[in-house]
Amino acid sequence: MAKVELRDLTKIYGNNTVVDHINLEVEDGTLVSVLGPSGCGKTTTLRMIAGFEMPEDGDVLFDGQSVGKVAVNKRNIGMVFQSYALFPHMTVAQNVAYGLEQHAVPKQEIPGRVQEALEMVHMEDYAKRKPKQLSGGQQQRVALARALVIRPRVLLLDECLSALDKKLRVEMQSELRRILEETKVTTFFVTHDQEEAMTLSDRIVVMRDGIVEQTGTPFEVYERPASRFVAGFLGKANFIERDGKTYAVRPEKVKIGEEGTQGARKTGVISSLVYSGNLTTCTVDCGDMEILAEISHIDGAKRFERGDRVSAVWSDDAEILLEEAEA
Amino acid sequence: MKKQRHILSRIFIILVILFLYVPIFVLMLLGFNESRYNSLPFKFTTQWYEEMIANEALLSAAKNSLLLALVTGIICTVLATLFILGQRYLSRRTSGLFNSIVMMPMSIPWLIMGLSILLMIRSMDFTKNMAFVLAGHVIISLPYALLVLRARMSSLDKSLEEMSASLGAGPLTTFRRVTLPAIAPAMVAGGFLAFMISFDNFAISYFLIPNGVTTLPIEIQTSIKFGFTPEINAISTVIIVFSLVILLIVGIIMRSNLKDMLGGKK
Ligand SMILES: Nc1ncnc2c1ncn2[C@@H]1O[C@H](COP(=O)(O)OP(=O)(O)O)[C@@H](O)[C@H]1O
Ligand SMILES: [Mg+2]
Repeated sequence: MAKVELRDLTKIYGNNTVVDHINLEVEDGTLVSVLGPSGCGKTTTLRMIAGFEMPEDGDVLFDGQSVGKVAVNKRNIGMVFQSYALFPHMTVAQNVAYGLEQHAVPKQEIPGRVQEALEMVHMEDYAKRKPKQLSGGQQQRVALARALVIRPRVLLLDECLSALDKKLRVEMQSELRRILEETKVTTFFVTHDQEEAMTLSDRIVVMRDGIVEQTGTPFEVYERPASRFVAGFLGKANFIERDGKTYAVRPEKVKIGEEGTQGARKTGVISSLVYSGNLTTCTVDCGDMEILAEISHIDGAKRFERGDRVSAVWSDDAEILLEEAEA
Repeated sequence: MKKQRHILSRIFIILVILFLYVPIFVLMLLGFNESRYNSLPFKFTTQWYEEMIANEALLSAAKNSLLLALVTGIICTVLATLFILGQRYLSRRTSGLFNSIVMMPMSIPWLIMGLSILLMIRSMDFTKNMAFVLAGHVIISLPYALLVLRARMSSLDKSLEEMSASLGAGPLTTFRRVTLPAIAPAMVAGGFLAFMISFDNFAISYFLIPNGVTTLPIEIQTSIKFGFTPEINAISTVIIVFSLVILLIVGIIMRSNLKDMLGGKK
């Protein structure tokens, strides 16, 4: 368990700067999600922390000490890949024991630690199975047990839930949350799924094209996105241009009323209504732009139809000022 | 109509299978037939097997072939494994280039291959010896071993080795405990194919073999020149059974992987 710092961490492939002078400080025991679209350099960053890739510039520090020159097998990290990468010729128990053997844990202690780790992920009944005989979700758990059993200083998870189906993924998310709270290991969780990042993490690092766009708690990055990119990537947003500045307004903060409602910000025609159970997403065509509004059904009746002329209303503090001048 | 097509396709499949196996079956059967000229009617005897066991020349040829094939198989397994492991650290282009170079002997007729090695030996004033025969066998068998190994090793996930490293294992431990077990079935399969190619080879051996030494294919060819005896059927049957037994053993080693191995899939 360690505090992790990235200082000007940079990776260049050919003339393609994949990770560009990233700076980051992660307190001991924190769960950080690294979130960004595919190809933005998340995996590469993780692999540099692990030591699989050598940075062109910058450094990685565990507890204030550089691990730049420390080989992967001496860094004491736990990893879970998207493919799980369980050793196919070993049983579940052997897979979990492998890391303990490498860390010279006394032989008589190993079975107990393996059992303990398997219990933590509820896989103790499968100890004698081969990975092939397990479902994706079960393999996932074993991979996690294998990574955690060595009590790593840092846990690195690369899209490790992406291969699971939606229901299982949600289940594993809360499971993961529970396990990581138990073990209190500093965790980097790479994902391109913003919902997953929001529900799981203490902090979110939003990446884009090899740079960090914003770092903050899930609340901060959602409620106070620094850029148009962050606002758009974490949920939906309406972008309002005014006085040369850009504001983001979340659709759930937009209210729809009869045309001419008091305090109307925009007026237009409803061009689509998408009903999704707990709310209806309403698109209002205002001529120069479209406004997205999510209407919850607290008051029951669905009052508007496609083609209705309506006004969109929102309060001043629903407007988030975005920093950049970028279009 | 549909039913007819169904029957027709079965007939085709049976015809192909007959085409493949009738000659072998006849050969095996006639090894137990009394007639010296492989003529009918069939009368059971084990005479030809007795004569075969007494035939020193045939047995020593068989021993040479076995030894040669065994060494070829081992050398090819080691070379092919090293080659493929090494290739993973090259760029795509370089690795592709090297690949074409080692696979080349596969598209050169063995006859030409044997001849060219012979010419080389002659022009450099070497005398023929078994080392050249072995070298020739390795050259022609290696591409096949590589083919089988690669087909299976494409499934060797680099992430397994990375995982091993992240769990604290050094490169040697990783190789011994993760890489080797993962590729062992492929190595056995590749080595087995190389063994078979070598054991079966006539052309290369014929050109390069030193005087007074024979291999089984050469011995069989020679003895046929002086008249075909059912002894040949007997030895052929032994070879077939021997191959099947090896196949079975390999199959057991690789358990469910036998099917994949024969199909060359991962
Ligand atoms: N070994 C490599 N050689 C060249 N380019 C690479 C290599 N690995 C990754 N890249 C490139 O780096 C960029 C970032 O990749 P990656 O870190 O895997 O993104 P992410 O995990 O965010 O999807 C991609 O454009 C990818 O093509
Ligand atoms: Mg990735």
